[in-house]
Amino acid sequence: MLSFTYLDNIALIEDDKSITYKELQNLVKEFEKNLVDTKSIIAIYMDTTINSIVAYLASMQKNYAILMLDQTSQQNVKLCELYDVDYVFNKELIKRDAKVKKIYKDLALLLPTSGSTGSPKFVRLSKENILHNTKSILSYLPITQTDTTITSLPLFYSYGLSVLNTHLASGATVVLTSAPLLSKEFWELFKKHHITNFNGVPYHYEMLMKLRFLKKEYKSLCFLTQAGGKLSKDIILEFTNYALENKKEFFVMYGQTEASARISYIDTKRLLKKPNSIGKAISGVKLFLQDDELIVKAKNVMLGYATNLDDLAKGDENKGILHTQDLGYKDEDGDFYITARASRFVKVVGNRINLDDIEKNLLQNSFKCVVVARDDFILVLTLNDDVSEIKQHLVKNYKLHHSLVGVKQIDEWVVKSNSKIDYKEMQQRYL
Amino acid sequence: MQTEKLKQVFIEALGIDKNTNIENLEYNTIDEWDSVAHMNLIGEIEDAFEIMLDTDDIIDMSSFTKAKEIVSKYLKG
Repeated sequence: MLSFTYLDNIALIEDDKSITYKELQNLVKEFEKNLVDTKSIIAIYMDTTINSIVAYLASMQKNYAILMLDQTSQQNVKLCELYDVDYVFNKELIKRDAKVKKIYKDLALLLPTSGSTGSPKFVRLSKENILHNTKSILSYLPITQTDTTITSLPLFYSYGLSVLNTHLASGATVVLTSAPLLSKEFWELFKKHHITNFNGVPYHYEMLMKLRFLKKEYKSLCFLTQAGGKLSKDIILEFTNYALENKKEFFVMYGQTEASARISYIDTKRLLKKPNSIGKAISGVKLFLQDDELIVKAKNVMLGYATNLDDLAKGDENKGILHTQDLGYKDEDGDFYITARASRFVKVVGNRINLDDIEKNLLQNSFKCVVVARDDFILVLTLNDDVSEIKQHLVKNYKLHHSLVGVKQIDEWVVKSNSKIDYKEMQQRYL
Repeated sequence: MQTEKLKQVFIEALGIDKNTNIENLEYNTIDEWDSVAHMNLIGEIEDAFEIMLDTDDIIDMSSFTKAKEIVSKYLKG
């Protein structure tokens, strides 16, 4: 993890402070001195600071199990108790009075699955999972030691963490900021540090469109990556054309925290022909279909989930196999497509209905909605005053009896910490 | 500069009370003016004044006063 090659390169920049890889290595070594040798659990309130990254790297070096926490979450204290962590790093290191417990020897990282409420589930990853995925990602993303990226994603999120890991492994520079995309500060840093690599989820790209990003010239920019959900075909094509015209690259990637981060990718040229595809598996990953479901076989597949302390003693339950719960197909060139989430299907009076399809159909008819369901009832949520129009449209187009569909106007979407729509929470709240 | 017209756009786009002290309004200081509402507001301003704002100006529009300044720049242009 810490075999940095370019020791004199700048590794991290935070405000006016920048540190080289050599300095980072020393900080990590210093930090390690505070940690006992027995395998322990450390909770890290992961923010975009040098200190948090040092805590993360040192804990990895020590073969600890790291409980990655969203520093803005209200549940962190509860989680530290639930997992009876030995250390807490929240701006500073605190040793807790914890019991001796059994931790699986290869358990290195507990990443939150992006839920916002209830008791969060964590994905159990090993150091090998992370290293394997980092290597695979570097086999297709052209990250070099002269590159600079900026933290547009949180580091407790698998995608954000993979950006950090891959850049550190390449000797590149990471500019640390918590400034949101829609802030002057973010774009000032972007220009000042000549950012070459930008990474974002669909929300970022939707914002970039609104910010007229494509009309601006960012000479330093080399490539952009998009993951974390389905971006609309139109926006994908806009960015693909922008990349081709400006000699930049644009990568659309598919992944899950359950697979450390990345599973497949598609590059700029292929995107032009296939903007809806998630491309092919990255090197070191086998991707195939089983009853229409995408299955991953790879060394970056998680050990399993954790919902309580006892789970930390568990070994490798997945054994390299991940059922993604994404349904899809493969074309004649071997490129994959995702059509739906397995869990987004409901049976209404015996008919299998795809909730994503309904959402898409409504959007095509200018109704921006979120569709959830339970048993024999579909609920459509909208922010606008168009309840009766939506209901009419659905009853007419889906031949659904009006008693099986409800439409409700709400104030705002419930989103997860990674800005994705939180279907589960909205279902629980409104159904 | 049509200040009253801009005020009206703010009231409608942000869904705020018309008795709000709009002159002193700042981005992210009220619930109604968050990042999502900001984008909506930009669209409404552009439609109302038939202008197309630049990236820097969209990000820069951090208060009503600033919005007034930016919009008038475009109207002159």
